[in-house]
Amino acid sequence: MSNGKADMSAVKETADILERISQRDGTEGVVIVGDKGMVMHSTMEGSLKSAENWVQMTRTAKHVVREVDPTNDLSVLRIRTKKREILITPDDKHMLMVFQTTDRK
Amino acid sequence: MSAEVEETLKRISGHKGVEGIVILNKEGIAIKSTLDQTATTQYAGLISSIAAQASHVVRELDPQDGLTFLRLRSKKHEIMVAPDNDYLLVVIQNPTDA
Repeated sequence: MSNGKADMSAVKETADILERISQRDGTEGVVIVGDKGMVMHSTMEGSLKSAENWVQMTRTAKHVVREVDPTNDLSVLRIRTKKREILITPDDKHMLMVFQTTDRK
Repeated sequence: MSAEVEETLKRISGHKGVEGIVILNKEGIAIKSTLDQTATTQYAGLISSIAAQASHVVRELDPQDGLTFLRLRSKKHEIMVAPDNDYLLVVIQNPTDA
């Protein structure tokens, strides 16, 4: 029995969640990145073509946490810059990146 | 270190949930720490590395931008990193205690 229907609803659910996140006040964009750095889904037109360096940096962050305590795990990485804040939530195969402006209404 | 710095460190470490504070210089050497020697050395190397990488990817994305703060949240605690021209301030806190 094919899993086509289950896949389709998962894709739709993902799209809905991303849409909801990206509608939040101050959100510049939401990006889902695969483990090799390829952008799988993005609400930001063209600005992030390859996220390979972001994936590598997140790997380093995971490593920092594990080195200090091998039973611990990175859950969120927040990068605050002059212009924005980037929230990175990694899991086994992907990474969710949310870009927010720092000046929110 | 000046009295003002000592004051600030005391204030931060007085916060509920703060497990440790480390100040690194530009070379990644800990010049002040509330943790033991082993933990300090470990954090010094690891944090210098991630801070440099984060700073780099931020500039790559936008050369006009710059890293101002970094937070590594994990199951057991949160590591906060505040970079500055000459130093890196690292604070480890347990958010559930805060």
